[in-house]
Amino acid sequence: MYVYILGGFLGSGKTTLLMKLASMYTKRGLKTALVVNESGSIGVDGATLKAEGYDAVELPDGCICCSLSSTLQSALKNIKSDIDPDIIIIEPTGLALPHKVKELVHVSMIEEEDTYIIGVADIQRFEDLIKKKEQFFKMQMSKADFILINKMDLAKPGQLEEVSGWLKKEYPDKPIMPISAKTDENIDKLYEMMR
Amino acid sequence: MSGEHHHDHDHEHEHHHEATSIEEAGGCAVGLTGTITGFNADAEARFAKALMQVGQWVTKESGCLLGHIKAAIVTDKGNGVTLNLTDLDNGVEHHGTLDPQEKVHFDFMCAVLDVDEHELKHQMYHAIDDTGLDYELEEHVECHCHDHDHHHHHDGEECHCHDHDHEHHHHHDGEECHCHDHDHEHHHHDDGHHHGDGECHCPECEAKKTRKESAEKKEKKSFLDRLRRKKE
Repeated sequence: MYVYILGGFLGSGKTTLLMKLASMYTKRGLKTALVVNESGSIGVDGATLKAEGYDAVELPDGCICCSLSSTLQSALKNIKSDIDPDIIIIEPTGLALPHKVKELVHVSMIEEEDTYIIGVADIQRFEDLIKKKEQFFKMQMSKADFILINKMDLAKPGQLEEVSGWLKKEYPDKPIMPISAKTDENIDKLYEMMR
Repeated sequence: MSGEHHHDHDHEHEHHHEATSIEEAGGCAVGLTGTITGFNADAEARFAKALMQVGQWVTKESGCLLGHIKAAIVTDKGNGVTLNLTDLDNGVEHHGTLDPQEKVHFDFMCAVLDVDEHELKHQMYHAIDDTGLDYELEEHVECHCHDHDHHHHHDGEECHCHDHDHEHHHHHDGEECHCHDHDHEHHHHDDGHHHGDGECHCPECEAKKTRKESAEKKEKKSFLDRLRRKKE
């Protein structure tokens, strides 16, 4: 069983990417379980996924990396025993720290080496985010196995080079790839990278 | 046995509140849920406008929209549309389709940075209210913004209704506001004058004062009368 954790700030396109990955794994014939977390008491992502034909375990009203950590652990244990999927994709809130989620996944009897963090950076609001919350963004990306620069279809001229340059400088050892989860640019390359 | 006692718990306990990631990021998340009667494409567009209204407020408050504003509008069966706003220039994204419905449920949520959580909820409530939709919230949101009578002024006439020297504030649900529990009525003056001595001498107030004074005199008189009668 492999677990993918989508880490990235609010509105970076994690839900859209989650749907793409779920669809790709289903086409590959793999049993896939989705876990979505929202910090508000009202969950909207679950409805989005349902509207698009996906079923997901919803964990609203808190953050799975801190306030809902025990809820995540029991949800993962239930998924493992009841569904026994090949793949679990977890979408924490955009204010979560993915490495903390990874620790909790490990506590839930899932091998650490089978758990990957996919960092998602929003090219459109990258500058604003770095200006206001650079430290927090770095914490979110620090343990990512690879980083995707999402919404490349909305990039202004020169923006892609600028953002890739910044990320490469900060994380020289991490693979970095621009994609568009919405318009499918480089999405095939991403599928190849994933098990 | 050494006779030494180890007081492992003799140290002072300090209770540390470990910040949640939301606190660490300086973000907040707010949700409203309810029902809409009479849903159609126009209602969907109006709801999208509510998202934009909140997005504009967040941008004004914090300088930029870092976060997302979402809504799910669904039937009892769970099928429906979702609306998503992450960037004002891109506008609201619509996912899914929904035929006209007599009644639908809605979830309206907002997770953003650097705004006051209660003020955000207040803005979301107003945004829904401004749509003109026939809606009902599951949770009772108290808003006293419009609890006073509105009036208008002729050109050149000044309004002193909002000349309070206190700041406006908001209340949590169920909490009452006693700021305006005065026992006097507010009024305005056509000639636009104001009073430095705290007393108003307009004909209406003067007449009221005379009535009050004569009533007091009358009361005093009757009391003295009663006392006199008692002595007699």
